[in-house]
Amino acid sequence: MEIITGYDILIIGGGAAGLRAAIAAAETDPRLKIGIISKVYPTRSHTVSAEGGVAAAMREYDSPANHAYDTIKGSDFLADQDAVEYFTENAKKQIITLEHWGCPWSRQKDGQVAVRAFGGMNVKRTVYAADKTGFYILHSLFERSLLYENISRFDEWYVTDLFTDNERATGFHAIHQKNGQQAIFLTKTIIMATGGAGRAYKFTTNSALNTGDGLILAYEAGAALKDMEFVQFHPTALAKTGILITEAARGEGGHLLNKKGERFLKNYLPEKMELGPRDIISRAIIQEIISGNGFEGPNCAYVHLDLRHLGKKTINEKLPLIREISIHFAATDPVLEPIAVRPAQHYTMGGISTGSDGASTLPGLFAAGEAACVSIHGANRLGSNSLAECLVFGASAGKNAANYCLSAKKITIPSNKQINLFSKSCNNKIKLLLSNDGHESIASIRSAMQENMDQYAGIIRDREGLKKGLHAIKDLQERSKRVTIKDKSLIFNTGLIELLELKAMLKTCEIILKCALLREESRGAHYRTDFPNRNDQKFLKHHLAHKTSAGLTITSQKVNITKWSPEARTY
Amino acid sequence: MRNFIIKIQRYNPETEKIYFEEHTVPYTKDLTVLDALNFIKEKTGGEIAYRWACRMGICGSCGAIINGKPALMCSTFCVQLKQPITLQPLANFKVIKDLIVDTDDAMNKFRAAMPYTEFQKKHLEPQHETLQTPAQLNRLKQTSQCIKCMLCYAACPVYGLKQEFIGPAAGALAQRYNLDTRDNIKNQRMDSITAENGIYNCSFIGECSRVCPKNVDPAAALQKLKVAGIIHTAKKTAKSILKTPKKSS
Amino acid sequence: MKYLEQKPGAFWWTRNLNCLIYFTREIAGIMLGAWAFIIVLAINANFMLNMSDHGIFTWPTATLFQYIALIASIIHSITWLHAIPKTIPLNISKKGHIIAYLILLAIWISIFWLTTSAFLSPKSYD
Repeated sequence: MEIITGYDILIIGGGAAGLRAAIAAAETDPRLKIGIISKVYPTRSHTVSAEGGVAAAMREYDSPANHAYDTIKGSDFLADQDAVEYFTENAKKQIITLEHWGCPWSRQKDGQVAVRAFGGMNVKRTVYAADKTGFYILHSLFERSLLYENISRFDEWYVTDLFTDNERATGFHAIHQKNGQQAIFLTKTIIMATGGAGRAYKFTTNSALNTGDGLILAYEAGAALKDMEFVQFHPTALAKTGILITEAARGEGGHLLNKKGERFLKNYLPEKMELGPRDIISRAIIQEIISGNGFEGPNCAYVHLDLRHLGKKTINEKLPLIREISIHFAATDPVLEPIAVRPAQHYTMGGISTGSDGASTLPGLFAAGEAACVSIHGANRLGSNSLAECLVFGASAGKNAANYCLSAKKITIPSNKQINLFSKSCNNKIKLLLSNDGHESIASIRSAMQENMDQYAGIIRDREGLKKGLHAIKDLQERSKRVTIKDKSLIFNTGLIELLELKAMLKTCEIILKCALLREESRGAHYRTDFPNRNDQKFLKHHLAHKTSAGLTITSQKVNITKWSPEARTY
Repeated sequence: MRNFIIKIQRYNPETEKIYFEEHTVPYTKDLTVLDALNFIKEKTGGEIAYRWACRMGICGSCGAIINGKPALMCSTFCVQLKQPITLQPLANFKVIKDLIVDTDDAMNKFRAAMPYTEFQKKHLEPQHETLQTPAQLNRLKQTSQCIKCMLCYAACPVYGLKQEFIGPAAGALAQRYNLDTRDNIKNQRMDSITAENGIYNCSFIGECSRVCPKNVDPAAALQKLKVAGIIHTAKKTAKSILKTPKKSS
Repeated sequence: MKYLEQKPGAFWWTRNLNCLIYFTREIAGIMLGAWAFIIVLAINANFMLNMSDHGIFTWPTATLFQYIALIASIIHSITWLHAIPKTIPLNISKKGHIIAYLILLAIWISIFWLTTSAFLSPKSYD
């Protein structure tokens, strides 16, 4: 098996966080050799689907402290406040930098970067690029990354295992899809930027790529995952396909209507209405549907998002993509009719536990973006904070990984014996998976997992449901050991890759359900009917999931509180 | 309800066998070609290889030749296609397996377009954004929509016959940066794209703009670049003539 | 292990109507070029010899040739006018391109009509 060496930093994942980290590291020192490994071509990463915007304290009427307070309140006071302060201090800088690199932010008449209102933000602070912000950010970063000679790319390589020696992350094993080649990569640091695990759910806005690969790579290597029970459901996704209809539609003034044509949010969020935080609005929509005020569709119940009163000009200027998506995929022109929407899984608040410097609990392993949990989103993320997180913590992880490489006195190199052992075990694992003899199909296990998670680990949870869900997942994990893969070649063996992704998702589901069972309260996006209130006495803490000799172990970590003491969360 | 019949071109790189497979998919009004393919993959035990990710026409992964024309599978509806629906891998590229093609060469063309605003690598942490009016932003709107889906390269006969050609998407990307008021390196970019394998290889066949799913109109971008390129080269030549010291008589 | 090569065949231009129009455009351009070259030859030859003595310079060959060249120049002009709006450094929508093309066509047709009608109107030589 080929051994690829010479890299100082290897970044797994080529989305906004991964590319931003690569550029930050490349800038720190041109002598550093940086590699980006992605299972798809970088511009296909899920960042491209992000629509709404990037939040920062841009204007005089705003301040990082104000942004921090909104974020912390939005997180239901579970966010680590020192990290949030770091985040809000640095968000504006990232936006300005990206602007200089050519990102086409939408503008005001006077030429300044424009801002719009967004859910949970008490002032206008979300910078946007029409309603394709993620698309423009990803392409701007990708194009900028072509400038640096010291950034190399390994496109369409799938990482199967992390390599640790003497308890430091030193590399990984990956398969090059294009020619079936396997290789061991050795490096000084690794940055995990692989995104979330939305495809564990049936109804999700996420692309096919979000299968939690990086989370489980880190977990299996010994890094801790934090706050995995918190999964965000976006209130407005197209009723059938789950395609995202951005929060910006509500930010520009859209209304949510029930079957009777009334703006039902007046019963749940009388002050903020459609600009409330996502967890409360998603729950409100589900409650309306349960109480019979939703529309009955052929696939599912839904409510209406009405944009007609915004007018054709505003929609074409500020929301062109969702108009295109609505017309194309839902045969609905938002200028003329309301859009059928319902909540869908959208974001994984949980992830690899890191500090503001991006370092995880495993030395040598950094993480950034949705794959990481710093935590700045706590129990619920505010819209437009995720793209900002990718930029701020991507840059932070990149810079700190670079400094680690430059300043670390001696970084141990694994011995040939260790490398051979690792290489043999990875090769055997693949051989075993390909020679498995059973009659299970990946599609049916995956389907069952997704339905299971939607039903038991969705917007509304309870102990019985979570237990049933966990039992079902354990069963599916057993079944996944009996999948036969007909294709024995390693060249674009989609069966093998899907099986590896499925195993990662099943493990992620197990961790989500276990942590959700332990959290006997309702906080942010985690809502339990058997414990409907927030319990700061017992649960103002993070849950850390790690792999020990006893298997999956869950411990606690206290929340860092600096300035804002927890209070009742009303909007 | 009538079912859809889908013929898929299969290719196995190990056995080097190329053949067509026919499948039937139950009818639904809003079934996309991608949905149909996912259905077929599940039903047949998952071996057909193809790329897809976002399923909303923004990532550019799922390009294929559908009934003879390059298109995105996730954005094409089966009801609107003539039956049987024929699926083949994107033209002009080497096929790795089934519907997956090797686009590495075309993806590298973007480097020649120098898609950045400056050569300065260390950013100096500026305090404020450069001002840009909405009208100035509008100039680059069309060419900035490119999702790098490679449908234009599959449609371009020049790229098919001469792989060294910079191609439509790279041309559109160069134009996008040329039109950006924040750009600082227009001259170097023009030098790069007017070079031997650059924009002058375009014969304005116009296939690229016909297949582009995002209305980027790379053909127009390339023609504009040709004119701009002539002016650029003329200026450069004039400058160098004026600079040359006159020979003493 | 081998990848499958895909190259456009020699008759790629029969693929669809757009490619056929393109190919016709290019052939028309070549024909016009050939016409200009032969006219140069003919003019050159005329300085030394009497043109009407040479078979290929008379009816029907010469006339047919001129008509073909005329058709080629019409095709060439129409397709070239289609390309011109695409070269202008302005933001024009798809509809705008069509309108610009139609305007250019109208101007060209009027010039064409004026010049040909000037030739067609009878002149008396009395």
